[in-house]
Amino acid sequence: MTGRIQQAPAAQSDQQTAMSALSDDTTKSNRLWSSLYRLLIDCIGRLKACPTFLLLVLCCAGCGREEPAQSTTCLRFMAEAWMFGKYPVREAKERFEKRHKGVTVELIKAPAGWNNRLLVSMMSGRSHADAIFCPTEDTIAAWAARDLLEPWDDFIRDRLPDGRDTFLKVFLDGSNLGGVQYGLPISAEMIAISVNKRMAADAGLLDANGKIRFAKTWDEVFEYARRMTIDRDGDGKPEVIGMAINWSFGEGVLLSAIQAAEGQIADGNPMKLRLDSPVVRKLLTLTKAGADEGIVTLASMTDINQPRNDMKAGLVAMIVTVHSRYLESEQTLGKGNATLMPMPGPNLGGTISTTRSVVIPRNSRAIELAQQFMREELLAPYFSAYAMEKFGKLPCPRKVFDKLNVVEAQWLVEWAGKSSGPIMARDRIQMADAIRRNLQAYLSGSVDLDTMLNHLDDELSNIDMRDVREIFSKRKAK
Amino acid sequence: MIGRIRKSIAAWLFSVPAFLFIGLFVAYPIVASLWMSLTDYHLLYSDDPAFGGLGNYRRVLNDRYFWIGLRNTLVYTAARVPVIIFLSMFLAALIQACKRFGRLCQTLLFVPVLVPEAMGAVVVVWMLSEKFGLVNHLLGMALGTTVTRNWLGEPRWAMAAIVLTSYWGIGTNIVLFSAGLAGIPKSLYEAAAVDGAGPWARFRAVTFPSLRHTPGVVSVLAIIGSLKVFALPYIMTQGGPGSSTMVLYYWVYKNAFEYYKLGYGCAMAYLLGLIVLVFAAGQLLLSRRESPS
Amino acid sequence: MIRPLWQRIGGCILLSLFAALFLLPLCWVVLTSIKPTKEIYDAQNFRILPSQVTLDHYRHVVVKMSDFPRYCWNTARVTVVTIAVVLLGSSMCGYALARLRFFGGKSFLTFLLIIMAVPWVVMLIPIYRLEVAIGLLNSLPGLILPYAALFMPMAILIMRAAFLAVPSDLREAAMIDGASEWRVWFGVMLPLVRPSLTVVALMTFLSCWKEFTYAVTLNSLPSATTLAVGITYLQEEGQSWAYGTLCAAIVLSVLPLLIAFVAFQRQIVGGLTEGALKG
Repeated sequence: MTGRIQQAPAAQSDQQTAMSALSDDTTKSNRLWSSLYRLLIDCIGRLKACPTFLLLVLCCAGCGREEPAQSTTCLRFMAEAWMFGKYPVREAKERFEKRHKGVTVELIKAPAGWNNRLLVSMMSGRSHADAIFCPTEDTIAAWAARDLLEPWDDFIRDRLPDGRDTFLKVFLDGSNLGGVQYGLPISAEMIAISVNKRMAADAGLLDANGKIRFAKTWDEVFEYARRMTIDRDGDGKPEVIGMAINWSFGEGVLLSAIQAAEGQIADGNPMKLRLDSPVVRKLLTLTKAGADEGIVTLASMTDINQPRNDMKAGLVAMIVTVHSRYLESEQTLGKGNATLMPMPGPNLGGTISTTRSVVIPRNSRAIELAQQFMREELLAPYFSAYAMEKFGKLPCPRKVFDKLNVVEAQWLVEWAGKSSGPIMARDRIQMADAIRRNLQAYLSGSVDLDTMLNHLDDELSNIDMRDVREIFSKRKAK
Repeated sequence: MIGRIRKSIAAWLFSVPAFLFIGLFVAYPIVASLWMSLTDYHLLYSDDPAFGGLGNYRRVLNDRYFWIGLRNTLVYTAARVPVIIFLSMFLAALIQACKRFGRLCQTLLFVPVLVPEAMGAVVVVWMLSEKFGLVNHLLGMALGTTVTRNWLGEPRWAMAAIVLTSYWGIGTNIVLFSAGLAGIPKSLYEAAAVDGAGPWARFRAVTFPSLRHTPGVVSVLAIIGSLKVFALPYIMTQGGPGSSTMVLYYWVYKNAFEYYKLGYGCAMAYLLGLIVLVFAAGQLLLSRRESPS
Repeated sequence: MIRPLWQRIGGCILLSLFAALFLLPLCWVVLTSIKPTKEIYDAQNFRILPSQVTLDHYRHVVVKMSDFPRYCWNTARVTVVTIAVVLLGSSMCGYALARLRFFGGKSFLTFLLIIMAVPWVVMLIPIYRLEVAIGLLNSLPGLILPYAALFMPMAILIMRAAFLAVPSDLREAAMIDGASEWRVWFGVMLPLVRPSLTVVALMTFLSCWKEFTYAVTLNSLPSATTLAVGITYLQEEGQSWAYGTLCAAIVLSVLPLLIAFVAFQRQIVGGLTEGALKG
């Protein structure tokens, strides 16, 4: 109870500060708020006799916690729920706690779609985490634009012996805005084609060294799919289907295809996507024909996990989705039985890539501790190496990367170099939805290709495609 | 007079807790979001939202997906409500006829009500899975071939699957109808039996008229529930494939909580509320006219 | 009235078929939760019954979801307090609406009916902002207060119907004896409407236990995460090849509800009919 009482006025005034950031008389309003608050507590004190109220109060007391200004003993580390399965977050916590007696790391699982909600409560002057793992570049840009993030620059200069070279440059630049580093990348993810190597070998798609021959056009990719499709009993229902494209993530696939074919996804600001390009038409018509022919499955339209589930079960030979699935499926296919292929196009391997970075919010209560945790655990080789070995998440710390003895990792960095990074449009999520919906409408046969592209064009013209970074620079200029 | 005033004061005092809660967490939000629906409020990008009058509402009416969502919602409602009423009435009648065994079955039929909709949806998705699903496998066994239909990936089947899943939770309605049936005097049936009426004639002449009140209540609840459907399409298909299962509530949610267009989302939510209200009021009037008592 | 035997037997068979159909998904969940992962994802040799029973998935839930007991405890706390608040508020207000006609009562009733038609998502946005402003976000009270308010209208209608059914001379007799309004309400009326109180409690319990949208929006800390949300974390944590674990979690989280249902079956079924038909 006491904790709550002491903490609340502070919280109130924080919020007040945020609201009247431009005015100077915050101290005055502080006093006003705390006296109001005391009045409220008085009233509550008199009502205590009522049993229900007591119950409520008890319940409040259970969750009120005392939180000091800057803690040296408690670090609240937040990540999305799925990351707890793919990164050794729990191990990092234990190691850190063992090394520093008296320090606790509280792990917070975030629900999906939490990041912008977190932004709202951060804007009101609170943050319920001291370090956050996960935001993609556009989230970092939105947060940085609101001046909610602590820069990493001093940390990089003073604490990391290799400075900026600690990280692969391609991935570090994504979260560098206006010369300030707001996020440190741990791992990267891009769109590529994962292939079941044994099936590729059976279909004669490997070269003399046992390396897959990269398909250079989508026609070739679909030809691969045709050759890897297996229908043993000849009933028209193949046991192994050649290819699954993740249409639940259709926007990623399509934009990467454009990137690989045209070298660029969009022009100008507000962005104009190059959607009405030959590669889009080619990919979509081939997919539809392939589905009719039985060499491609469309089951992924409503089930985002279908491609990888089927790949792991050996029911599909090749999947087009985020690259990490190829290593993930080695869990069941056996080590070395899966490989990667770039998105086809004249400059093989263009794709969209995103990084998972760690950020420290401005109102973090343990900045020092968060930095220490970053240096000692998250940048330690075991952390990102685990995610790579088990789940194919490409590590961004250079030392970890250099130790990898995987040829695919070298390819990935090369492809990422040709990427134009993530789409940094303001309403990126709505854009992604619009593309996905329209793609699926075409693939499921509701509309023809031209109508679909027209609809999509229409919709995109109503979506705010200005660059998020623009807000950032405008605010900085102020 | 004084007594009446005192009574009124007492009444207000009695209502204070309810008023406080409803005022703060229902009435205030409703008013606030009504105001919000008149502005261009964007959670991320607008610091001080500008008043836009009825602009949002006009834009909603021009939104292709609003109409698609409305159509899908109405299709869902039309496919769900009549079946729910007749199926639960039919099952309740069977339960009535089977005495003790019937009561056991009623308990079993009620169990799905306890499973949260979201979890039920996850289970159904798994059962309908193209390769690993129970449904395809059972069908394959029955037909003697391998069935690899991708139920949720085909527009027509996806909606059908969602509607079918929604029948899972009709336990409450069955209970309501059982209670209604139990209240019908036996003598009515006996009289009908003397007249030589068959089961169907008995149902039409005796059961249905005596049940008047129950179908009314059940259908109002079912219509309101159907128009506000959200969890099933959200989990089973994410509105896909394309926009074939995107219902209105889902589009509202997406706009408000995924695109953060709060003003726009609120405007749409109010239109949805209006539609629900019209349906509910219409249904109430209808059932009132049918049973003048 | 006696029906022919074949009709009755036919009816029973039909009924059991339906019951089986309704329980099929649940049985499938239980079966999946004790199957080895390899068999779950073996499309070539599909098995309905597991070749060997494994409890690995349950172990996984307990290990991976070390927060599982915490989520249960949070849900229980939210549910209990919400029920208490709803019971108190709705029985008081329902009494006032039924027995003490007062200025504004009628319009309040209409208002209640109207707000039941408004989609809950409308309220969610301002409630979210309100909670950010007063610092209730990410706390249990931050969930309890909106829940109590949202479940209240229906509860008030039920309680009003219940109080209306109590003969009014009872109240008058007590008033003549000199009892105050509070005494009458608490000592005389409340015991009489106990069945309806049970209904309200149960309905609140069911909706509270299951509620997802508000729970996931208004909270993002483990200290106030409820079970309905916690389950989805588990789903996200092992998105691929984890259906066994997911099924185990579903079984574990539905189990308490099932036990409660079996224990209170008569009251639930009896109460539901009474409450809904009157309301």
